[in-house]
Order: sequence, then C-alpha cells, then structure tokens
Amino acid sequence: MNNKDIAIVGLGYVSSLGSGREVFYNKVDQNLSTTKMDTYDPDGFLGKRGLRYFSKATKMYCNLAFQCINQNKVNDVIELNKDKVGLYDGTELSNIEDGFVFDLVAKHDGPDLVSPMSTPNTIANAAASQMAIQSKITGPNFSINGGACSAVQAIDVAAMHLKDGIVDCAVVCSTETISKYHEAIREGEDRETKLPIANEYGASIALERIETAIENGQEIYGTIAATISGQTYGKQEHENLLAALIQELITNNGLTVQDVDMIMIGAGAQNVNGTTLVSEVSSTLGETPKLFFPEMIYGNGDNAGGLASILYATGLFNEQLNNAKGLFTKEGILTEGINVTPKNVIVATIDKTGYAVLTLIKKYN
Amino acid sequence: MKRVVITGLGVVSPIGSNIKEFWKNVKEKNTGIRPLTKLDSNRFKGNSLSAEVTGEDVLTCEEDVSPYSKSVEYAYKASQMALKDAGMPEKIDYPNRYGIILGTTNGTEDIVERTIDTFNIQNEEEELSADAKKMLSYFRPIEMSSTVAKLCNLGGTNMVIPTACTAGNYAFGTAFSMIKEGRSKVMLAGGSDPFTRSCYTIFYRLGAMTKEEIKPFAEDRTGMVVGEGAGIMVLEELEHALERGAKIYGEISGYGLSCDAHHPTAPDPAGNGAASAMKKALDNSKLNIDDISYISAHGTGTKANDSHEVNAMYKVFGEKLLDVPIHSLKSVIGHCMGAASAFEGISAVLSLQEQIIPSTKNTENIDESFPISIDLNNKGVKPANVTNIMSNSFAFGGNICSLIFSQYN
Repeated sequence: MNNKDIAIVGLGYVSSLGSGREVFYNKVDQNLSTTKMDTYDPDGFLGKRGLRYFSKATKMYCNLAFQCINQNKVNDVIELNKDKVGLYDGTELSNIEDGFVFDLVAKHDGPDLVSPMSTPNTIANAAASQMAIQSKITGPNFSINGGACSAVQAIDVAAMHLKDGIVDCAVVCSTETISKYHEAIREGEDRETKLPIANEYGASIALERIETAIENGQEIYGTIAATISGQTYGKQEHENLLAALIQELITNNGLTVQDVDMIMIGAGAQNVNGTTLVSEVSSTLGETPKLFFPEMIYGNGDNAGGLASILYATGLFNEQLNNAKGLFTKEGILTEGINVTPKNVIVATIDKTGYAVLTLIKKYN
Repeated sequence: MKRVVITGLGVVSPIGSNIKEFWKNVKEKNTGIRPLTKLDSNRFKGNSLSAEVTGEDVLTCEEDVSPYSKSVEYAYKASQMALKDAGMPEKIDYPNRYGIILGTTNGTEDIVERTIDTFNIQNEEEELSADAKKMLSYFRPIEMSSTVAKLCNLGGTNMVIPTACTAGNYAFGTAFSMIKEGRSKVMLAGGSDPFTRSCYTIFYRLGAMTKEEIKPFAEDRTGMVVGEGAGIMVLEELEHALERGAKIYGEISGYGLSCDAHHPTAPDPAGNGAASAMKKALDNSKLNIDDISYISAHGTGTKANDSHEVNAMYKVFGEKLLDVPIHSLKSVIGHCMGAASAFEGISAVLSLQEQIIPSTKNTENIDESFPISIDLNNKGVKPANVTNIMSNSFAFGGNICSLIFSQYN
C-alpha cells in the first residue's frame, strides 16, 4: 500500500438472484445460474414515483449505486459534501433498446408521436444522471464507453479524479442490460467462444483515497494500486498486447512476477486465445502466469465482467469465497488450486477491438 | 506539475472541413445553418433547418470506414487533420502510448437508423436477419475511438464519453488529466456526432428547435438548430512538444465538472451546477475572475438554457460580468451535439493565437429578464489582449464541464 492507493470501501451486485455482494459470492460458490431479470431495483431504492419512465439500465444503476452508498460509512462521506462525490457509469449498450424503439417510432409514426418522456433514455448518460437527481449528488457525473473494458475504464477515471482531489468519494457502476438488440449485436459479432453467456447483472464499487478511508473509519475491502491501458498497435495480437501491459504494470509498481498471485481476465476473455495468452505472458515474464478466466464461472457479461472480477478478487482477499480458488484455462479445465489468500491480483479486460485496460488490486493489510 | 499544451487542430464542420475555412467563417459570422437535407422534409416538417457538415468532398478516406458510424469517419478525418497540423504523421509510425478520447451525444445512433432503413424494419416485434445483426454490431460506441486509434496507430488509452452536449469538454478535461498524470505524452481529444433522425426528433419533441436564426441570449430567442461534425485537438505534454519543436497554440489550465442533479432534460433555472463547474475550473486553473478575457458560452439560444447560464455566470462573476465579453459560436455553427464544445474549444484556441474576441451573430437585444446585462460582442470581431478563455458546456442530465484555455507563455 502507498499513499497513492485507492481504497475500495463499497461493493454492490444485482442479478436475478437478488442484490448485494453476498449474493454474488454465493452464486460463485454454489455455481448458481442467473436468468433475465424481472426487476432492476429489487431493493426498492427508487420507490414507485416516475419509475415507468426510467430505462432498465437506469433502475439497475440506481440500485447498484444506492447499495454502495448504504454500505460501510460511505453515506457519511457523501453527506459531508455532495459536490465532492462522483458518479461513474461504465456502459456499452445500455441505451440501444431505447434508441432503437425511439427511432422506429420516429420513422414510422412520425416525430410528433414520439414521447418526449422517452428522450433521455436514448442517451447513454441517462443512468448516472438520474442517480444524481435521485441522490442530489452534484459532483462529476461521468459515463464511459470502453467496450468490454468500460467498467474498469470508469474505475480508472474515478481513481484519477480521487488522486487529483476532484472528488473525495466515487461510486462506479456497470450497467449492461439485455435486450433483443443487445443480443443481436452479440450474434452479429460472430463471437467464437465456449464461455457461458451471462444473463443480466450489474456490479458496483465505492472508492476513497486510502488516507481518508482510514480517517473515516471505513472497512477497506482492498485497494486499487494502478491502472494501465493500451490499444493493439499495427498488426499486434491481443495476447501480445496483454502480455506487454501486464509486464509494464508489474514493473511500474515495483513488483516481481512472483508477487502477483493471479491474473484474472475479467471481461472479454472471448477476445483472446487462452493457450496463446499463456505462451505470450510466459515468454514476456519468463514464468508461467497464474491466469484465471472467471467468466467461466460468472459468465460472459460484457463490460460488467470487469467489476465482477474485482468483486471476485475482494471475496478472495477477505476469504468470503470458499469454492472458487481454482485456476482455469479458458476452456474451463481446472489446472491447479491456490492455497493462499491472494495479496496482489491483476484484473485484465480486453475488447474485441484490441483495446485493453488492466488494474492492479491489492489485499488491504 | 506537467503542463498540457495544444499543438494541433482538426475540424469537420457545418462551416468548413479545414481549420482555415472554419476560422474564416467564425470570424466573418458566415452561417452553417441551411435547409435540412438529411431527412425527408415532408415527413419531418416541424423544422426545416439543420447544420450539416460541409466540405464532405474532403472526407474521402483511404481506408474503408463505410461499415462504421459516420461519427467514425468525421472523427478520423478531423484526427488526421489535427495530427498533420501538429507536425506529426497522420498514421504514427512508431510504437507509442498516445491516446484518443471522443465525446459524443449518441454518435453511433446512425447505425440503428441505417439498420432500420436498410432492412425496412417495421416494429419492435420484427426479428432481425443475420445481415441486419451484422450491420447493427457496428453500433458499439467504442468503435468510434478504437477505430480511429487503429487507423492512426495510437497505442494508448482510448474511450468514448457519451455525456451528450458537454462531451467534447469532458474529453478535453480527461485527456488533460491523463497527460498531467504522466499516462501519455500525446492525447487526441474532442467530439464527434453525425446528424440523425433520432437527434432531430429529440429536440423537436422537446420544443427546443427554432425555425428561424439562433439568437443566443436574445429577448426574442426561439431555440437551437441540430448540427453535426467532429472537432479534434492534439493535446501534448509541454516538454514533449518543446523537444520536437512543435507549434503551440495555447494550453489548458484546468477544468471543473459538476452535475446540477435537477431534471433529465432541463437545466436548474438557478444555475447552481453550472456556477459550481465554473468556480471549480477557476480553482483548478489557479485563476480568478479578473483573469478571464472572455467566456465562450454554451449559448444554445433556447429560453431555459440561456437563462440558467446567465444566472450561473452572474453567480460566479457578479457585476464583473459587465466587463467580460461572451461569445456563442452556436449562433453561426448550430448545435453540433458532442462536437459542440470541441468546436467552441477550437475557436477559443484560435482566438488566443490571433488575439481577438469572436462575435456572436443574430442577437440584437439582450433578454431584459436576466439579472445583469451581458456583452455579446455582437458588432464584430474585436482585437483584445486574450489570455484566458472560459468555455462552458452543459448537457441533458445536468452533466456540466467548464474548461479554461490559456495563452502559452
């Protein structure tokens, strides 16, 4: 830990199984499968007023953000100065259904028959914006599209704002809801993968600077030490880019390969070849990496996977996960187990476009 | 602390798709608002004006970008121009960690429109064919930044920030932070949006569009006109720019972000969120109100937006606002969505270079209901000692960013 580390002080999760990080840990432990969600705010944080105009992603975002706010002492920090709290949304396709239906009506029925109430949902900043209205949080309101890397990219921006003193607390959520148009895009991409497809879920995280988190008496679930990102250059392969970024992340943070207990390909594992990745990372680092493909367990859920893998890692840090300490190849073959609670984990996400964002997270104390 | 300078500019806009023409038209107030051509005016007859990109003949790309959103094409051409202007290769020929951040309102929505039109999709129940799904897969917003990054060989961070009409400033601010933090030596940043049926319909149904001219802050203002385009800046760490002998247009001193947390589509009438962002931008830049040479306003020409912006500026500048000229570029170029604040930033940077204050078009009588009278510099371009320009931008959902461009010394 150093004074540039960012503390994880809140964690949230929602799926058809319910809400709360314990639900996620239970799902992973028990290997439970999810279905399409019936309600996107199972805790009823939003009440009934105005709900019919909210998109599914907005309801999910608000649920996830309120989970973080109501956890630990996050709300105390927020109440101190709502202008120094940031809301961040990592999203990829959360607005496509609303945008598609809006355009269908505009084309076939004419612009006069489109409901003005439906307009905000066509833009991807609707979810975080509506959360600001609900919570009266007036700090930065930030939506980010980074493909499969969106959620971790959003964490990166939030951490940067914390380090710069732009915010004192950041709530980051990923909101990927499923619609026929979302599924159409998945099919249109011709994904070749054996990964199980995740049904809808979202995850969230609350962050503070380490020194203020300690000062505020927060329970700290882990820390974010550094983030790195890159795009494939020229004809560079995805696996080669990941290997180079992993090496840079380790070196820049004064670690050795042996210090890193696990490298999780948290989102976008369909965009790498597992065997090639092992080979590239081995040849770059000079050692066989402890690679882990958690989407084999919680499913391929686009950008939400980045945040889910951070939930996963914090579950391992704090020994809240019992049954998931195996290392898997992308094909799902258990290769070895981890006998110690990890201390340093790299969460890597990679998009189909060859864009990757990686973050180094650490066990606290 | 690292300083962040501006070394290259590129535009694809309704008033020209090269910097020289763009700047000439800004200074001469030659309008980019013309009769709507991108929609069937028999069906979309509520408003017959738009601000469509001109000079599209320059948009021929060597690479085939046709499957992608028009926003990719616009952003790519503007990026190439900006790199060339910065004295860099249009396709970087060495491994690097240069990045690109693009702001947008809904930059890939034209892919939805293209899919619906091409496959004549009638309603929500209709199943999409395999070809339709293939076309729709290009909707993924990251295709905007990632495709440009790949075409220009930018090996660092790239992302799209969909914070609507303030997104260009969000992109500038985020790129500024990344360079300051030492994450990259060079970042391309700006905004891109194509003209779409959806965007037209959104503003039409909200009653925000004018059938006349855009008259920012005027007594008789009647609204905005939907536009399109892309504006890109090359932002660079000062030492890096100096080492390679780059021309320096100016620098970014700081920025402020806020959310007025008021309403999904209407600004807080009191302007509290906007005032907060302006104050944060001044603090972040270590400047005060006396240092601001002029304000590049969001200035849409709508009743609610202009009124709240004046209230916010008055909260920050007080009576000093009487002495601070205000420029609204939208009076000439229309409201180009995610590219709007990018164009405004580029205009601001060019005015730093030329030491002039651009002039707002169309407005004759300032709305007397404002708490203070404002100077729109509406008689024509004025030479001035321009050192720091505050550029404001606001969006649906109360997303707000104020950013300060400064003279490089």
